[in-house]
Amino acid sequence: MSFLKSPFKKISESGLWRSIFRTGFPDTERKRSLFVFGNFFLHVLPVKIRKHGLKFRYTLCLGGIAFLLFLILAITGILLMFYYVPDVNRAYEDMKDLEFVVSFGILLRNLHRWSAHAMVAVAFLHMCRVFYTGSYKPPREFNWVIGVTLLFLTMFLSFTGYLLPWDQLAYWAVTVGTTIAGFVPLAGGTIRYILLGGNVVGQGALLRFYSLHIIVVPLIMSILIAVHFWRVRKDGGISGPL
Amino acid sequence: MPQEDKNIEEPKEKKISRRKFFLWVGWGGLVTSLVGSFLGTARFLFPNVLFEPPSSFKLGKPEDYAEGSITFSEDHNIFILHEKAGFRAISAVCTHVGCIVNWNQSQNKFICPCHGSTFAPTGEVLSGAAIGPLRSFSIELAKDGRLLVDTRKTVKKEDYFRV
Repeated sequence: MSFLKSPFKKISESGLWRSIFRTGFPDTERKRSLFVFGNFFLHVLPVKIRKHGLKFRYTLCLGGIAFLLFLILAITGILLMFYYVPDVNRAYEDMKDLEFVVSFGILLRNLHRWSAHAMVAVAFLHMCRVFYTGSYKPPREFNWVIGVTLLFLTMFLSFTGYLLPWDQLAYWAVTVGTTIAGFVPLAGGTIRYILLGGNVVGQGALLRFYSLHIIVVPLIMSILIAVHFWRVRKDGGISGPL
Repeated sequence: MPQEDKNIEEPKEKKISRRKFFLWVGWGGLVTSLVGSFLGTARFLFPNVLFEPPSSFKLGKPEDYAEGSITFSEDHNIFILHEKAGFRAISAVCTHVGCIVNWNQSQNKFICPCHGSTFAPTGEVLSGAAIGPLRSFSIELAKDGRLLVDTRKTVKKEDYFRV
């Protein structure tokens, strides 16, 4: 009977395949489950989902779109990092290089910028959807809190990223934003001093904003996104009847 | 030492067991090191050296500023006014959210391009969202005859520098 098996089946039952994936061709329920359970990357996913999880009209996929945008931002952001130096003497020119000199640089930069604006809008719309469908009610209250925190982190990422081109728009936006931060009662002056690394928007501010933008906030956000998804799954999955 | 003989018979409340002692030392040590690391990290974030423009600086000589003139110094973000009563060095940073104001000759006031706050030549707020007047800084005469402005010292709006 071996001559009837398709080439793919033949590959997936070879020794090489089994040494990597441990299961043969997933043609039984058990093998299908094992393929997901036994995989480092896939085992965080549910093996099966309820049919209502695919309902588009209920959620408009907004949360998923926000996450997709986050991934696009991460990947384009990492690629942009290869040509950008957060130095006040060259940041603007590096940005111009990305636009005019680097192959596909203009696509990466624009994709990054547009995705950033889109993510803020989509996250907000997702929040509206969750509110209007009552999906914040117990036992989901804390996930709402995590969601709002994620929204603030998204906006903070936008704010820190805005400074990096080091153009007029960036400079004055951050001047205004940090001056407002300075008006917070009691801790305002300290918050402004730490954000800027001093009293004026200069090299210290650019470097700190860069550091916050590329690693500190994305790391915190990744962890909170993971918890956010975990809670959705534990509370019965997405798009289900409440 | 005589206390201890009594304790062998009747343990007092103050006595701590070895287990409890080591638990205190262990957890205490861990918490102290964590709190210490946190405080150290927080202190680390405050820079000790600032690479910023100096807060006091020299401008031109008094003769360089004609009477009735208003000169903007872009390097220091201040206006130098030479009026009949004397010299004034006024901050060009709007007290609303930090934009640099412009001098409008025809309207005889400072106008902020960001949100439209207006200020009198003496610095007081005439209109807009600005919450305080533009500060006037102290002016002295340096040894080489140039004007020395110190942005750390604010003077009253009535005070002019007379040569």
